Amino acid sequence: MKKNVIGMATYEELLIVGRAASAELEERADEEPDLSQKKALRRTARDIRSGMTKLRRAQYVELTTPRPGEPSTAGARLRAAVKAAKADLRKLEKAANALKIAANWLDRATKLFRIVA
Amino acid sequence: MARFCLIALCLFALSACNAPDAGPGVKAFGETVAAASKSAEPEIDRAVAEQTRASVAAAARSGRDIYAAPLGCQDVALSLDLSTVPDDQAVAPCDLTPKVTLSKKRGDAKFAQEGLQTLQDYAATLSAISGSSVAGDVTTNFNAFNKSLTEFAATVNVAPKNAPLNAEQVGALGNLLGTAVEARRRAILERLVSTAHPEIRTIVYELIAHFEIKGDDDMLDAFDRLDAAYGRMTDAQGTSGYLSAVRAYEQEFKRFEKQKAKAQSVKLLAIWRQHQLLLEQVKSRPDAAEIGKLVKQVQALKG
Repeated sequence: MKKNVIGMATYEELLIVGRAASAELEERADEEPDLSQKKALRRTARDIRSGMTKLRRAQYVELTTPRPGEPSTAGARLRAAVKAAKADLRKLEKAANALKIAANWLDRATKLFRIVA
Repeated sequence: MARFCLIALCLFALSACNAPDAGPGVKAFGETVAAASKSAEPEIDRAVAEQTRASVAAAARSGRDIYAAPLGCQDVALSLDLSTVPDDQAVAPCDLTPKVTLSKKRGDAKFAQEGLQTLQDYAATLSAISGSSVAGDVTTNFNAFNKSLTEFAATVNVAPKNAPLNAEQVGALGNLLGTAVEARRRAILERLVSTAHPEIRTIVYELIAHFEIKGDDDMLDAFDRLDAAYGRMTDAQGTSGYLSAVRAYEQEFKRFEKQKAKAQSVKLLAIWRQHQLLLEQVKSRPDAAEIGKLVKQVQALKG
Protein backbone atom coordinates (compact mmCIF):
# COMPACT_ATOMS: atom_id res chain seq x y z
CA MET A 1 0.00 0.00 0.00
CA LYS A 2 1.32 3.42 -0.90
CA LYS A 3 1.90 5.76 2.00
CA ASN A 4 0.82 8.81 0.10
CA VAL A 5 -2.96 9.02 0.27
CA ILE A 6 -3.21 12.26 -1.71
CA GLY A 7 -4.38 11.50 -5.23
CA MET A 8 -7.24 9.65 -6.80
CA ALA A 9 -5.42 6.36 -7.52
CA THR A 10 -4.52 5.81 -3.89
CA TYR A 11 -7.99 6.68 -2.61
CA GLU A 12 -9.37 4.19 -5.09
CA GLU A 13 -6.84 1.53 -4.04
CA LEU A 14 -7.71 1.99 -0.36
CA LEU A 15 -11.43 1.80 -1.08
CA ILE A 16 -11.07 -1.37 -3.14
CA VAL A 17 -8.94 -2.99 -0.42
CA GLY A 18 -11.48 -1.93 2.23
CA ARG A 19 -14.31 -3.33 0.13
CA ALA A 20 -12.59 -6.70 -0.16
CA ALA A 21 -11.75 -6.81 3.57
CA SER A 22 -15.31 -5.94 4.60
CA ALA A 23 -16.77 -8.61 2.30
CA GLU A 24 -14.29 -11.19 3.61
CA LEU A 25 -15.21 -10.42 7.23
CA GLU A 26 -18.94 -10.64 6.47
CA GLU A 27 -18.33 -14.01 4.82
CA ARG A 28 -16.40 -15.25 7.85
CA ALA A 29 -19.16 -13.97 10.13
CA ASP A 30 -21.71 -15.97 8.11
CA GLU A 31 -19.71 -19.13 8.75
CA GLU A 32 -18.80 -18.39 12.39
CA PRO A 33 -20.80 -20.58 14.81
CA ASP A 34 -19.92 -18.54 17.91
CA LEU A 35 -22.41 -15.67 18.28
CA SER A 36 -20.10 -13.24 20.05
CA GLN A 37 -17.34 -13.90 17.48
CA LYS A 38 -19.88 -13.43 14.70
CA LYS A 39 -20.94 -10.04 16.11
CA ALA A 40 -17.33 -8.99 16.59
CA LEU A 41 -16.54 -9.83 12.95
CA ARG A 42 -19.57 -7.87 11.76
CA ARG A 43 -18.60 -4.87 13.90
CA THR A 44 -15.09 -4.87 12.41
CA ALA A 45 -16.58 -5.08 8.92
CA ARG A 46 -18.84 -2.10 9.72
CA ASP A 47 -15.88 -0.15 11.10
CA ILE A 48 -14.08 -0.71 7.82
CA ARG A 49 -17.15 0.46 5.85
CA SER A 50 -17.46 3.50 8.06
CA GLY A 51 -13.79 4.24 7.38
CA MET A 52 -14.46 3.90 3.67
CA THR A 53 -17.21 6.54 3.68
CA LYS A 54 -14.89 8.83 5.68
CA LEU A 55 -12.17 8.26 3.12
CA ARG A 56 -14.51 8.98 0.20
CA ARG A 57 -15.74 12.12 1.97
CA ALA A 58 -12.13 13.26 2.44
CA GLN A 59 -11.53 12.71 -1.27
CA TYR A 60 -14.62 14.76 -2.16
CA VAL A 61 -13.38 17.58 0.08
CA GLU A 62 -10.03 17.42 -1.69
CA LEU A 63 -11.71 17.47 -5.11
CA THR A 64 -13.69 20.59 -4.18
CA THR A 65 -10.86 22.48 -2.48
CA PRO A 66 -8.88 25.03 -4.50
CA ARG A 67 -5.29 24.00 -5.16
CA PRO A 68 -3.04 27.01 -5.45
CA GLY A 69 -0.49 26.56 -8.20
CA GLU A 70 -2.36 23.72 -9.87
CA PRO A 71 -0.88 23.65 -13.41
CA SER A 72 -4.12 22.69 -15.17
CA THR A 73 -7.42 21.04 -14.40
CA ALA A 74 -8.85 17.92 -16.03
CA GLY A 75 -11.47 20.18 -17.65
CA ALA A 76 -8.78 22.38 -19.20
CA ARG A 77 -6.86 19.37 -20.48
CA LEU A 78 -10.01 17.85 -21.99
CA ARG A 79 -10.93 21.16 -23.66
CA ALA A 80 -7.43 21.27 -25.21
CA ALA A 81 -7.79 17.68 -26.51
CA VAL A 82 -11.22 18.49 -28.00
CA LYS A 83 -9.82 21.60 -29.68
CA ALA A 84 -6.92 19.62 -31.22
CA ALA A 85 -9.28 16.89 -32.50
CA LYS A 86 -11.62 19.48 -34.04
CA ALA A 87 -8.64 21.07 -35.82
CA ASP A 88 -7.50 17.66 -37.14
CA LEU A 89 -10.98 16.90 -38.48
CA ARG A 90 -11.16 20.34 -40.12
CA LYS A 91 -7.87 19.61 -41.93
CA LEU A 92 -9.33 16.40 -43.36
CA GLU A 93 -12.51 18.17 -44.41
CA LYS A 94 -10.45 20.90 -46.07
CA ALA A 95 -8.63 18.24 -48.11
CA ALA A 96 -11.95 16.79 -49.26
CA ASN A 97 -13.22 20.27 -50.14
CA ALA A 98 -10.05 21.15 -52.02
CA LEU A 99 -10.73 18.29 -54.47
CA LYS A 100 -14.29 19.50 -54.92
CA ILE A 101 -13.18 23.07 -55.53
CA ALA A 102 -10.54 21.91 -58.03
CA ALA A 103 -13.18 19.83 -59.86
CA ASN A 104 -15.51 22.87 -60.00
CA TRP A 105 -12.74 25.04 -61.48
CA LEU A 106 -11.95 22.42 -64.10
CA ASP A 107 -15.66 22.20 -65.01
CA ARG A 108 -15.81 25.97 -65.40
CA ALA A 109 -12.61 25.99 -67.46
CA THR A 110 -14.04 23.24 -69.68
CA LYS A 111 -17.28 25.19 -70.26
CA LEU A 112 -15.33 28.35 -70.95
CA PHE A 113 -13.09 26.56 -73.43
CA ARG A 114 -16.15 25.13 -75.26
CA ILE A 115 -17.70 28.59 -75.52
CA VAL A 116 -14.47 30.16 -76.77
CA ALA A 117 -13.61 27.32 -79.17
CA MET B 1 7.54 9.70 -57.81
CA ALA B 2 3.91 8.68 -58.53
CA ARG B 3 4.77 5.11 -57.58
CA PHE B 4 6.38 6.30 -54.36
CA CYS B 5 3.25 8.34 -53.49
CA LEU B 6 1.03 5.31 -54.12
CA ILE B 7 3.17 3.09 -51.93
CA ALA B 8 3.18 5.75 -49.19
CA LEU B 9 -0.62 6.05 -49.44
CA CYS B 10 -1.07 2.25 -49.21
CA LEU B 11 1.26 2.03 -46.23
CA PHE B 12 -0.47 4.92 -44.51
CA ALA B 13 -3.88 3.39 -45.04
CA LEU B 14 -2.67 0.00 -43.85
CA SER B 15 -0.88 1.32 -40.77
CA ALA B 16 -3.80 3.48 -39.73
CA CYS B 17 -6.38 0.82 -40.55
CA ASN B 18 -7.71 0.13 -37.08
CA ALA B 19 -10.77 -0.58 -35.00
CA PRO B 20 -14.23 -1.30 -36.29
CA ASP B 21 -16.60 1.66 -36.28
CA ALA B 22 -17.04 3.11 -32.78
CA GLY B 23 -20.36 4.73 -33.78
CA PRO B 24 -22.58 2.73 -31.38
CA GLY B 25 -20.21 3.40 -28.45
CA VAL B 26 -20.06 7.10 -29.26
CA LYS B 27 -23.86 7.23 -29.50
CA ALA B 28 -24.30 5.42 -26.18
CA PHE B 29 -21.77 7.72 -24.51
CA GLY B 30 -23.58 10.80 -25.87
CA GLU B 31 -26.90 9.48 -24.56
CA THR B 32 -25.41 8.84 -21.11
CA VAL B 33 -23.97 12.37 -20.97
CA ALA B 34 -27.33 13.78 -22.10
CA ALA B 35 -29.22 11.80 -19.44
CA ALA B 36 -26.84 12.89 -16.67
CA SER B 37 -26.91 16.50 -17.91
CA LYS B 38 -30.70 16.59 -17.99
CA SER B 39 -30.75 15.76 -14.32
CA ALA B 40 -27.61 17.57 -13.12
CA GLU B 41 -27.78 20.75 -15.21
CA PRO B 42 -30.78 22.41 -13.49
CA GLU B 43 -29.17 21.86 -10.09
CA ILE B 44 -25.81 23.20 -11.23
CA ASP B 45 -27.53 26.19 -12.87
CA ARG B 46 -29.29 26.92 -9.58
CA ALA B 47 -25.98 26.69 -7.74
CA VAL B 48 -24.38 29.06 -10.29
CA ALA B 49 -27.29 31.49 -9.81
CA GLU B 50 -26.65 31.32 -6.08
CA GLN B 51 -22.95 31.96 -6.61
CA THR B 52 -23.87 34.91 -8.85
CA ARG B 53 -26.14 36.35 -6.15
CA ALA B 54 -23.36 36.03 -3.58
CA SER B 55 -20.87 37.70 -5.94
CA VAL B 56 -23.36 40.50 -6.67
CA ALA B 57 -23.86 41.05 -2.95
CA ALA B 58 -20.08 41.13 -2.44
CA ALA B 59 -19.73 43.63 -5.31
CA ALA B 60 -22.42 45.85 -3.79
CA ARG B 61 -20.70 45.75 -0.39
CA SER B 62 -17.39 46.79 -1.91
CA GLY B 63 -18.99 49.60 -3.92
CA ARG B 64 -18.41 48.04 -7.36
CA ASP B 65 -20.94 48.37 -10.21
CA ILE B 66 -23.27 45.40 -10.59
CA TYR B 67 -24.69 46.16 -14.03
CA ALA B 68 -23.15 47.79 -17.09
CA ALA B 69 -24.98 50.58 -18.97
CA PRO B 70 -27.80 49.10 -21.13
CA LEU B 71 -26.05 49.89 -24.43
CA GLY B 72 -27.23 46.71 -26.09
CA CYS B 73 -30.83 47.58 -25.19
CA GLN B 74 -30.30 51.03 -26.68
CA ASP B 75 -29.25 49.38 -29.97
CA VAL B 76 -32.50 47.40 -29.94
CA ALA B 77 -34.68 50.37 -28.95
CA LEU B 78 -33.17 52.63 -31.63
CA SER B 79 -33.18 49.87 -34.26
CA LEU B 80 -29.58 50.71 -35.08
CA ASP B 81 -28.03 49.22 -38.20
CA LEU B 82 -24.74 47.87 -36.85
CA SER B 83 -23.57 46.03 -39.96
CA THR B 84 -20.88 48.61 -40.61
CA VAL B 85 -19.52 49.12 -37.11
CA PRO B 86 -15.97 47.86 -36.52
CA ASP B 87 -15.39 44.67 -34.54
CA ASP B 88 -14.15 46.53 -31.48
CA GLN B 89 -17.59 48.11 -31.22
CA ALA B 90 -19.26 44.72 -31.31
CA VAL B 91 -22.91 44.29 -30.55
CA ALA B 92 -23.53 44.44 -26.79
CA PRO B 93 -26.09 42.05 -25.32
CA CYS B 94 -29.36 43.38 -23.96
CA ASP B 95 -29.78 41.25 -20.84
CA LEU B 96 -29.64 41.44 -17.10
CA THR B 97 -26.28 39.68 -16.66
CA PRO B 98 -24.37 41.18 -13.73
CA LYS B 99 -20.89 42.52 -14.42
CA VAL B 100 -19.38 40.36 -11.72
CA THR B 101 -16.84 37.73 -12.73
CA LEU B 102 -17.62 34.39 -11.17
CA SER B 103 -14.77 32.52 -9.57
CA LYS B 104 -13.99 29.17 -11.22
CA LYS B 105 -11.97 27.68 -8.40
CA ARG B 106 -12.49 24.06 -7.31
CA GLY B 107 -15.58 23.84 -5.19
CA ASP B 108 -17.28 26.77 -6.97
CA ALA B 109 -20.52 26.01 -8.80
CA LYS B 110 -18.99 27.63 -11.89
CA PHE B 111 -16.16 25.05 -11.80
CA ALA B 112 -18.73 22.23 -11.79
CA GLN B 113 -20.72 23.92 -14.57
CA GLU B 114 -17.61 24.15 -16.75
CA GLY B 115 -16.86 20.48 -16.06
CA LEU B 116 -20.31 19.42 -17.22
CA GLN B 117 -20.17 21.71 -20.26
CA THR B 118 -16.77 20.22 -21.17
CA LEU B 119 -18.25 16.72 -21.05
CA GLN B 120 -21.12 17.85 -23.30
CA ASP B 121 -18.74 19.51 -25.76
CA TYR B 122 -16.56 16.39 -25.75
CA ALA B 123 -19.58 14.15 -26.47
CA ALA B 124 -20.66 16.46 -29.32
CA THR B 125 -17.15 16.44 -30.81
CA LEU B 126 -16.97 12.64 -30.64
CA SER B 127 -20.29 12.48 -32.40
CA ALA B 128 -19.12 14.93 -35.10
CA ILE B 129 -15.92 12.93 -35.74
CA SER B 130 -17.73 9.61 -35.63
CA GLY B 131 -20.50 10.77 -37.96
CA SER B 132 -18.21 12.68 -40.35
CA SER B 133 -18.65 11.76 -44.00
CA VAL B 134 -15.20 13.07 -44.90
CA ALA B 135 -13.87 9.70 -46.15
CA GLY B 136 -16.81 9.20 -48.53
CA ASP B 137 -16.54 12.85 -49.57
CA VAL B 138 -12.87 12.39 -50.47
CA THR B 139 -13.64 9.37 -52.65
CA THR B 140 -16.59 11.12 -54.31
CA ASN B 141 -14.69 14.37 -54.79
CA PHE B 142 -11.59 12.59 -56.08
CA ASN B 143 -13.66 10.73 -58.66
CA ALA B 144 -15.45 13.97 -59.61
CA PHE B 145 -12.08 15.71 -59.90
CA ASN B 146 -10.74 12.94 -62.12
CA LYS B 147 -13.87 13.09 -64.33
CA SER B 148 -13.55 16.87 -64.63
CA LEU B 149 -9.85 16.53 -65.45
CA THR B 150 -10.54 13.95 -68.17
CA GLU B 151 -13.30 16.11 -69.68
CA PHE B 152 -11.09 19.15 -69.60
CA ALA B 153 -8.22 17.28 -71.26
CA ALA B 154 -10.56 15.94 -73.95
CA THR B 155 -12.05 19.40 -74.57
CA VAL B 156 -8.74 21.13 -74.94
CA ASN B 157 -7.46 18.10 -76.82
CA VAL B 158 -4.44 17.55 -74.66
CA ALA B 159 -5.26 14.07 -73.34
CA PRO B 160 -1.97 12.57 -72.24
CA LYS B 161 -0.99 9.62 -74.42
CA ASN B 162 0.88 7.89 -71.63
CA ALA B 163 -1.57 8.37 -68.81
CA PRO B 164 -0.03 6.89 -65.64
CA LEU B 165 -3.30 5.23 -64.56
CA ASN B 166 -6.26 3.80 -66.43
CA ALA B 167 -9.89 4.50 -65.47
CA GLU B 168 -10.16 1.43 -63.27
CA GLN B 169 -6.96 2.29 -61.47
CA VAL B 170 -8.16 5.84 -60.92
CA GLY B 171 -11.34 4.48 -59.31
CA ALA B 172 -9.27 2.19 -57.11
CA LEU B 173 -7.03 5.09 -56.15
CA GLY B 174 -10.11 7.13 -55.17
CA ASN B 175 -11.25 4.29 -52.94
CA LEU B 176 -7.81 3.90 -51.43
CA LEU B 177 -7.64 7.62 -50.76
CA GLY B 178 -11.04 7.38 -49.05
CA THR B 179 -9.78 4.45 -46.98
CA ALA B 180 -6.71 6.39 -45.92
CA VAL B 181 -8.84 9.37 -44.91
CA GLU B 182 -11.24 7.07 -43.08
CA ALA B 183 -8.31 5.53 -41.21
CA ARG B 184 -7.12 9.03 -40.30
CA ARG B 185 -10.61 9.95 -39.04
CA ARG B 186 -10.63 6.87 -36.84
CA ALA B 187 -7.13 7.63 -35.59
CA ILE B 188 -8.30 11.13 -34.58
CA LEU B 189 -11.23 9.57 -32.73
CA GLU B 190 -9.03 7.00 -31.00
CA ARG B 191 -6.48 9.60 -29.94
CA LEU B 192 -9.19 11.87 -28.55
CA VAL B 193 -10.90 9.08 -26.60
CA SER B 194 -7.57 7.81 -25.21
CA THR B 195 -6.37 11.28 -24.22
CA ALA B 196 -9.73 12.12 -22.70
CA HIS B 197 -10.07 8.90 -20.69
CA PRO B 198 -8.29 9.89 -17.45
CA GLU B 199 -9.75 13.40 -17.65
CA ILE B 200 -13.32 12.06 -17.98
CA ARG B 201 -12.83 10.09 -14.80
CA THR B 202 -11.53 13.09 -12.87
CA ILE B 203 -14.30 15.39 -14.13
CA VAL B 204 -16.96 12.82 -13.26
CA TYR B 205 -15.60 12.51 -9.70
CA GLU B 206 -15.28 16.30 -9.41
CA LEU B 207 -18.96 16.59 -10.31
CA ILE B 208 -19.96 13.82 -7.89
CA ALA B 209 -17.93 15.59 -5.20
CA HIS B 210 -19.73 18.85 -6.01
CA PHE B 211 -23.15 17.28 -5.42
CA GLU B 212 -22.05 15.34 -2.35
CA ILE B 213 -20.30 18.23 -0.62
CA LYS B 214 -23.18 20.61 -1.39
CA GLY B 215 -25.46 18.06 0.27
CA ASP B 216 -27.73 17.52 -2.73
CA ASP B 217 -26.79 13.87 -3.09
CA ASP B 218 -25.97 12.89 0.47
CA MET B 219 -25.29 9.31 -0.57
CA LEU B 220 -22.48 8.83 1.95
CA ASP B 221 -24.67 9.88 4.89
CA ALA B 222 -27.50 7.76 3.53
CA PHE B 223 -25.19 4.75 3.43
CA ASP B 224 -23.85 5.43 6.94
CA ARG B 225 -27.44 5.44 8.22
CA LEU B 226 -28.24 2.23 6.32
CA ASP B 227 -25.15 0.46 7.65
CA ALA B 228 -25.87 1.64 11.20
CA ALA B 229 -29.39 0.18 10.89
CA TYR B 230 -27.79 -3.07 9.67
CA GLY B 231 -25.50 -3.01 12.70
CA ARG B 232 -28.44 -2.53 15.09
CA MET B 233 -30.15 -5.45 13.40
CA THR B 234 -27.19 -7.84 13.72
CA ASP B 235 -26.52 -6.71 17.31
CA ALA B 236 -30.17 -6.96 18.40
CA GLN B 237 -31.01 -9.14 21.39
CA GLY B 238 -34.07 -11.42 21.54
CA THR B 239 -36.60 -12.20 18.82
CA SER B 240 -38.83 -9.14 19.29
CA GLY B 241 -35.79 -6.84 19.43
CA TYR B 242 -34.40 -8.47 16.30
CA LEU B 243 -37.70 -8.23 14.39
CA SER B 244 -38.11 -4.58 15.32
CA ALA B 245 -34.52 -3.91 14.12
CA VAL B 246 -35.32 -5.78 10.89
CA ARG B 247 -38.31 -3.47 10.25
CA ALA B 248 -36.15 -0.43 11.02
CA TYR B 249 -33.53 -1.72 8.55
CA GLU B 250 -36.20 -2.21 5.89
CA GLN B 251 -37.41 1.36 6.41
CA GLU B 252 -33.87 2.68 6.19
CA PHE B 253 -33.33 0.68 3.02
CA LYS B 254 -36.39 2.33 1.43
CA ARG B 255 -34.98 5.76 2.36
CA PHE B 256 -31.66 4.80 0.81
CA GLU B 257 -33.39 3.71 -2.39
CA LYS B 258 -35.23 7.04 -2.60
CA GLN B 259 -31.98 8.92 -2.09
CA LYS B 260 -30.27 6.81 -4.75
CA ALA B 261 -33.05 7.47 -7.25
CA LYS B 262 -32.56 11.23 -7.05
CA ALA B 263 -28.76 11.22 -6.63
CA GLN B 264 -26.72 12.68 -9.49
CA SER B 265 -23.74 10.47 -8.66
CA VAL B 266 -25.37 7.33 -10.08
CA LYS B 267 -26.03 9.00 -13.44
CA LEU B 268 -22.64 10.69 -13.49
CA LEU B 269 -20.80 7.45 -12.78
CA ALA B 270 -22.62 5.91 -15.76
CA ILE B 271 -20.71 8.39 -17.96
CA TRP B 272 -17.42 6.96 -16.71
CA ARG B 273 -18.59 3.36 -17.22
CA GLN B 274 -19.79 4.16 -20.73
CA HIS B 275 -16.46 5.79 -21.53
CA GLN B 276 -14.62 2.64 -20.46
CA LEU B 277 -16.67 0.68 -23.01
CA LEU B 278 -16.02 3.31 -25.65
CA LEU B 279 -12.26 3.17 -25.05
CA GLU B 280 -12.34 -0.61 -25.45
CA GLN B 281 -14.26 -0.19 -28.68
CA VAL B 282 -11.92 2.35 -30.27
CA LYS B 283 -8.86 0.36 -29.23
CA SER B 284 -10.07 -3.02 -30.48
CA ARG B 285 -8.00 -4.80 -33.11
CA PRO B 286 -8.46 -4.31 -36.85
CA ASP B 287 -11.28 -6.10 -38.50
CA ALA B 288 -10.04 -8.88 -40.88
CA ALA B 289 -12.70 -7.89 -43.41
CA GLU B 290 -11.40 -4.33 -43.42
CA ILE B 291 -7.83 -5.43 -44.10
CA GLY B 292 -9.13 -7.71 -46.85
CA LYS B 293 -10.97 -4.77 -48.42
CA LEU B 294 -7.82 -2.69 -48.32
CA VAL B 295 -5.73 -5.44 -49.94
CA LYS B 296 -8.30 -5.68 -52.78
CA GLN B 297 -8.07 -1.92 -53.34
CA VAL B 298 -4.28 -2.12 -53.51
CA GLN B 299 -4.50 -5.04 -55.95
CA ALA B 300 -6.90 -3.08 -58.18
CA LEU B 301 -4.26 -0.39 -58.45
CA LYS B 302 -1.88 -2.84 -60.10
CA GLY B 303 -4.43 -3.14 -62.91
